[in-house]
Amino acid sequence: MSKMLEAMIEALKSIGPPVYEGKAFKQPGQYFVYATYEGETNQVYADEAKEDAVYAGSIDYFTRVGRDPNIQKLHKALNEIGLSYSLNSRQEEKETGYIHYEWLFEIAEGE
Amino acid sequence: MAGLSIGGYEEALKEFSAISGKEMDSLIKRGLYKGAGIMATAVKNSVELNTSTEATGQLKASVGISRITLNKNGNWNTKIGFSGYDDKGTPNSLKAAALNSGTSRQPKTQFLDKAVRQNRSKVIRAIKDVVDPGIYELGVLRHWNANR
Repeated sequence: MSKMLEAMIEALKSIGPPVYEGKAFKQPGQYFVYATYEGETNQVYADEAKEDAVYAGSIDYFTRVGRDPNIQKLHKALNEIGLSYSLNSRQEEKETGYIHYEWLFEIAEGE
Repeated sequence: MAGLSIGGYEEALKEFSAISGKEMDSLIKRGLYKGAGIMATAVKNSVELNTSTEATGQLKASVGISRITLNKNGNWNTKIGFSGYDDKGTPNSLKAAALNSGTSRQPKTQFLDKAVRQNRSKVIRAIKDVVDPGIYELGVLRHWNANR
């Protein structure tokens, strides 16, 4: 596991709500789920050889709290470790009352 | 100390200005349409791969390409999305978001993210295959007309 990925997981855990890998269902409250995508998502070539590769993944946060302060805590924690990430979507689940945030992150090979 | 000078860009700008206008816009639109078609097909296939065999096919059928428009930055662009509602009145875009990003009750499939990642290079190549020869032809025609 890359050092940056380990740092990201620790950053998520430092915020408070439980953190799961891959998937998690029927949770009582707020929680994070992180996942890494299969294979490389981007490559850098130089002098006809591959110089670097990028691996991507997602962080999902489920909360029923409007203006949840954990969102700002997450941004601060991820910025502190220098992770490259962006907010991909925000969805409201009417049936469960959850607000679902999804961020995508990228980690360079060797990071 | 080594030096570097770059030249010829003013001439290049003149060449591009000479072939700008309706012909260039038409060429760009053709390229965009070609690329968008490839990506839309890839998204539809990805929907099919990531939904159950009992799916109604409504989500796949809702994939479409928007009209090609000029944005405020002067760039032509188009979008691929999910239009309309299914027969239960649920927006197809909402279903697509849930299928792609998951929910608190279902896992994510990333069907849309995967389709985009796996076909990005192919789409860029397809657009270039339309636009690059077209630019050359327009440039050659301009020189021929100018020197007649």
